[in-house]
Amino acid sequence: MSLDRQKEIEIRIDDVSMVFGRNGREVTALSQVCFEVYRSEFVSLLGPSGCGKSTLLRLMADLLEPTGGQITIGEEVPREVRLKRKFGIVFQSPTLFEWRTVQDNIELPMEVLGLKKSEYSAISNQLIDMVGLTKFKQYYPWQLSGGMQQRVAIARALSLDPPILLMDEPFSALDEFTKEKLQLDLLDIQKQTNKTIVFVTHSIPEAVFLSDRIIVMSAHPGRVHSILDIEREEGSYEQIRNSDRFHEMTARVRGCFNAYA
Amino acid sequence: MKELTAVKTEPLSTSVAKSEGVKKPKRSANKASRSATLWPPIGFGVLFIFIWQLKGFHKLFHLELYQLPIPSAIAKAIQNNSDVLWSYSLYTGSEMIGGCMIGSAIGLLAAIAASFIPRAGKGAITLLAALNAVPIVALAPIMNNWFGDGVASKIALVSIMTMATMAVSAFKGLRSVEPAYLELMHSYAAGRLAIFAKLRFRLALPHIFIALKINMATGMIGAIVGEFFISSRGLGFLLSDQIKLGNMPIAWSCIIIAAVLGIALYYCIQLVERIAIPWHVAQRAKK
Repeated sequence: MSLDRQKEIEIRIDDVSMVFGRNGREVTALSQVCFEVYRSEFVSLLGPSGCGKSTLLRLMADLLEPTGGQITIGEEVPREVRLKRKFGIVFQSPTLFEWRTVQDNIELPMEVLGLKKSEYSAISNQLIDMVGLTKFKQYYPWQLSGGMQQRVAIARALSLDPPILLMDEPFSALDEFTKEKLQLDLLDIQKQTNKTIVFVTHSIPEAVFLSDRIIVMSAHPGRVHSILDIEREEGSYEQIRNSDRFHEMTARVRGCFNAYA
Repeated sequence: MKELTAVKTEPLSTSVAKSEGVKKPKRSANKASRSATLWPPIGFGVLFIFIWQLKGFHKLFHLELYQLPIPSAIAKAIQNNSDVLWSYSLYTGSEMIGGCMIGSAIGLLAAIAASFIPRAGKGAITLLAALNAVPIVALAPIMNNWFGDGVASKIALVSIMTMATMAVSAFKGLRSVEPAYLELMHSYAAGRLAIFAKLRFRLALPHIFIALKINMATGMIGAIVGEFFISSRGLGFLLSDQIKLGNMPIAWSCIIIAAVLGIALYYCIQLVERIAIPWHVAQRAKK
């Protein structure tokens, strides 16, 4: 859908390298990575373990600093973006606070920001409705299934209404059925909110199903192998999954990996 | 676009519960299992007292009645000396609770301070933990020498005995945060104080309660042993005094009362724990 619009660059990864360790025991996690992410685009970072895709996400989130190159988000460096709380983050584990209810968990970022309860309870209620947890807002995390916990984590990441959503394998610990539902709901949420989403995954079908573009990465050292445009189709989950074009795309992506494996 | 939103969110919320499943807390089942685990120890306790009363242990260990009084004799001694025993229980209890509270508070403050300077803090906490290696029997006379033979010296003794346990345990809790949670808080640009109040302290609470429970038991030992040395009141004083006089039923009354006091205070803390950290208690019950 972003392809129809004029492409506005939101995130620019410019010649970024990342080397862990020092004094002879160095591991190069990323080597001279370059690409751009456009506004309101759904981009997946796809690759085998060790290709540095999670590291790249952490660099964008200013949880790590690159050893070379630079990252620009809008006109700013990641640190400024983080301090202005302009991105939300979702990890593989839901990382919910066990002592807080669903609603209190979702309100955490707004509480940290120093907003008043009266200001944010309307926002959290709206988010709870959006992720389909209306009946469960007073439940504690341990009373919820894994999929529902991840819904809470997504709502929490959206609570400060950041323009960018960074997701690190958010569905990889879920079963197939739950994963399917959450993938569909995530696409709905993106349609409603127009977020720019950077999505780390190791699943080829997941990347093909969700993305506008896939950044295919190779490992040792982590670098960009190729960038693929995906034309997203309209239709039901089964229709899309069973379409010839879907199979063609997954085959093409898989081909990227076979080329260097 | 807006119409689409309304239509799409509606069926979403109803279908989530069905397919993804919710674990509802089963209160009644919990209650049943709790009473099931409660009855065997009570039954065993009653049996134990019954055998004791029938002099079963006397035959087994070749003991005379003046060495091990039977329960009915101890009960009678408690009844006859209830005034003294009550006031001495309050005396020893206040030494124990006072010392526990002061020691635990100092330990907790030390742990919090150390958690803000993790590297230097860890060394300081290790140093404090060395206090646990000092034998209490060596400390008791010194505390009496410093603070006199009243309540103050025993409170000081119990404080020293309990602060290290709290400091080590609370520090461990404050530092036991998984990296992803810290990354999450960083992504909200949360400061160190917010991370402490909203995350670290909450995660430390279970560790703090464990330390409090251990400290209650340690505190009882400290208060009684402290009274053995120099004292004119308290359960420990009465115990050592009456053993010297060969008045075993009263000596045993002191032991029984000390035990009951210890158990009662332990359950008080457990009750507060249930109210303060229900999320953790529930997690534990699940395992």
